[in-house]
Amino acid sequence: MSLPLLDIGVVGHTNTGKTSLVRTLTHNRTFGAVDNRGGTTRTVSGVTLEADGTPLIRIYDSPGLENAPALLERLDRMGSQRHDGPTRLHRFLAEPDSRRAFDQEARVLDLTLTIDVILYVVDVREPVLEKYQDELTVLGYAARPVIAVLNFVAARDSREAEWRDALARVRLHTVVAFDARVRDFATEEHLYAKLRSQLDAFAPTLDTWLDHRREEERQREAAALLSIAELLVDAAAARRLTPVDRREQPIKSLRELRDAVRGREQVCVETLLALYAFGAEDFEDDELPLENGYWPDDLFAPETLRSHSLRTGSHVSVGAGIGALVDIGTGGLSLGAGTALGTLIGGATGVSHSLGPNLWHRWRGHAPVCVDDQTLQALAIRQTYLLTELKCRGHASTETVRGAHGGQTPDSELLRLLRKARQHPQWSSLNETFRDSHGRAKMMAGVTQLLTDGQR
Amino acid sequence: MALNIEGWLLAEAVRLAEEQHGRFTDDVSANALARTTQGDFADRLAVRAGALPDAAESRQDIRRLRRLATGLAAALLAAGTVAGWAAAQTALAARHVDALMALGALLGVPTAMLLLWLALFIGGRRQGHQGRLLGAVFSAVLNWSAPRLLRSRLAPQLVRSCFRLSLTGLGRWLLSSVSHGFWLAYTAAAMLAMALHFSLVQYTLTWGTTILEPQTVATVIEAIAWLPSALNLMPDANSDWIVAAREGAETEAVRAAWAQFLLAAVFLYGALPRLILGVLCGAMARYHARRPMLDCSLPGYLRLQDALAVTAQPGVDDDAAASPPPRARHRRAANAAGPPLLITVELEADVDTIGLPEVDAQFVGSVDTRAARHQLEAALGALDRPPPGLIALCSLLRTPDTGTAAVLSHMAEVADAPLLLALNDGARLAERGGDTGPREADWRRLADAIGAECIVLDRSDLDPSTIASVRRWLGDEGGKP
Repeated sequence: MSLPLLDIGVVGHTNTGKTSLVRTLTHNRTFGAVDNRGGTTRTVSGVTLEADGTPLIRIYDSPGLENAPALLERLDRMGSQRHDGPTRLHRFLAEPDSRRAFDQEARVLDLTLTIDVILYVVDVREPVLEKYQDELTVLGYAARPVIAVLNFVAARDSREAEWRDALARVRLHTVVAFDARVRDFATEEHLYAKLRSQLDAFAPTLDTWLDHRREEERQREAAALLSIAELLVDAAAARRLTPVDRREQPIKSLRELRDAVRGREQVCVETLLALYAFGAEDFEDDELPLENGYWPDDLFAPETLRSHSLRTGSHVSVGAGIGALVDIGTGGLSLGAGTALGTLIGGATGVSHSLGPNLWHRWRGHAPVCVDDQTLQALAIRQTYLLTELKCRGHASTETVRGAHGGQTPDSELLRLLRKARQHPQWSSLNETFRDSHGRAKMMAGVTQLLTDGQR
Repeated sequence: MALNIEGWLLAEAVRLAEEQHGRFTDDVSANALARTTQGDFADRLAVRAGALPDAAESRQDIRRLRRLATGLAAALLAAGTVAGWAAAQTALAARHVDALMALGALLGVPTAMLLLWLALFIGGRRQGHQGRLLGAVFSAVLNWSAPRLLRSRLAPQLVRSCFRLSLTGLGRWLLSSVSHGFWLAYTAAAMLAMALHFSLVQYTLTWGTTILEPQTVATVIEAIAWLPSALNLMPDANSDWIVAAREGAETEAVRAAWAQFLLAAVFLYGALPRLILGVLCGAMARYHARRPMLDCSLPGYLRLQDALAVTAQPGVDDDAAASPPPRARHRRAANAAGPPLLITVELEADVDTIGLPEVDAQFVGSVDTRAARHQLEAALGALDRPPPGLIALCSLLRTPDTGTAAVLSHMAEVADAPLLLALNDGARLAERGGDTGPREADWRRLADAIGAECIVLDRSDLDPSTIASVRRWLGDEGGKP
């Protein structure tokens, strides 16, 4: 069954944030032009919202109403059709000089006669002036449901209560507070719920759109957290080699490591910004500090040994399993030699895989240097802070997001997990030995889960 | 368009490269091409990946990978054939063969592996364990051979794509079909070797037990032989030839029955299940290969959603009216007399504080409501002589609009006096976070459009030079303040 296409017109006085509202509803920061000046939008322009390729909603931005008092007087002078607003508007628009005298208003009236619902945007920092009440009266002639959208409700000089009272006096009770500079999905849901309450015929369309939006939000957040988890695992497992005799001053290795991690962090930042439809110009941060490295070269440290024994153990079990199959295949004639040999080969492969590279580097006089706990912590805080900011950033916002600077509580469980990743240099895409593996995927799932818990 | 395996691998490789190193900087034309594609987001992603500058080289690498995978699968089939033949040779090495031990040697490993596959298929499907062992083998071979075989810039990511393909439904079905093919080759080769040996060599096929009841073992043999005999692949399983083999009193017919029993059992319990499962997995792989699914919720894909979105722009009108040209200034009337008059435009200040200190202007009303406008119009029209100037005190908090312009222009005409817009509330606009510069410019544009002069004054801290300029304007025939 095809769903009816809902046409929404965003109208209001000049410079109340109509284009900002359209940008925020469409998550499109390039739609129209936004400026703190009147008359920025001079024409009607629209954008279609689709769910899985199906167009559901068309949102039209319009020029600001600037001369409603004169327009209302003109309409009132027309006399006839007092109780038939649309006919009166059609007559007005058909008159030869109406478009010359009321250019922007005529465009808005043309729009209101073709859409299904009007979103009337109010800048609640403004006092309730008579000209705004005139605008509502004129819009009423279009005989379309009107929903008042109160913009800038978070401002210090907001007059929200005054406006709600004034709107109620003209029998406009469907009012939504929606600050276009702030992106809040709950408010967006609220707005669509109001639309649904006014438009029974479009309930299936709005339900489908809301389901789509919920899924979109969930996917976006999950992708962002996965992206952060991947950065953290890449950084934790990253390592560079430095000569053992220069361990006190590993400047070159640390610089290489720092550059690699910074580059990787930049990719993560770009991904987060792109996921929430923002650009590089929306974020500004200091460079990641990485002054001291971490030295994981103690081969007999408990953590290292635990990791090596686990890896060797898994190779031993695979070898023993294959050997046992051979024993079964020979009908027991091999007297368990297959199992024994498989165990030996598996064990030797495990040891050579886990300890081999370290021993080889040590023998050549090199020791690895890794990213220290403090830097890993800083990375996690910076990225989760950016995500939190982006989640509530409106697409009309022109201010730059600044990076996080301290204040967050360290997550010991996350660090514990990342220390494990440090034992697996093959898990970091910043190392030449990088390989995709089930172990890496499992680690990433664990880190993502912790980050998700943290977001909640 | 339908996404194929090559497109899937390429799109994945591009995603992995971009997640690792950042988005390709030269993707503008690829994005534009993708946006024109009919299809869903996955299709657009595939088109974009295929239109990137490195795509041609990467495609050649994918062909190399395909050849490598085909070669590897063929090698596995060959290895299965050799292993099956060798297993049969070992089982039938002596002329005196324990039939049950030979059957165990030939069917033991394939059956154990089949049960393992089934266990992973049923229990580990959700975790992607199905085909994992073979996937690990493929992955190891790929990791070893890729640097020697692949040449494109995306080579490391193509190897990772192959690994990720092995984790998808398509990859698991493909690996499973190769696995079943291996064991089918094994059992087929074993059957062939057995048939050859049984045709050319006379074997003594016996069975025995040391600790079990002979009847128990005979029951097991009967049970194994039930299905082959039911399918007419061997004579009916009866106790005569079973007992004859036990007692070493076998005839030619008994020997032939035992040989048929062994062949039929390997076929039915070894080859046939693998054949069925191999065909089934192959069919499933073929089905999935028609439309491999890209996981578009991954960050590397999702981030491109806006860049590849097809933006529909319905009903746009783009013939915006031009701004009105500047209008000539109102001139002071020759018979002007009296104090200048002051009107207010949408101010928020109390009426007591309205007025311009040190300029002896007389407040006559505001233009904020229809009633006030009519009252003001009547008052200005009733003046005996025109005033020397009309000062409109405006607030920078308000955005100038054509309605305000029309009203002020009309009032100046009614008063027959030059008009001065005195802009106030700049400090409050700045407090609100607004930029006073553009707002002042907008008001000056409005003043030009209606033939008025414009000054900015901050009533909380009046600059003497501003007052002086107002006085100059009042005494200067309505010229520039």
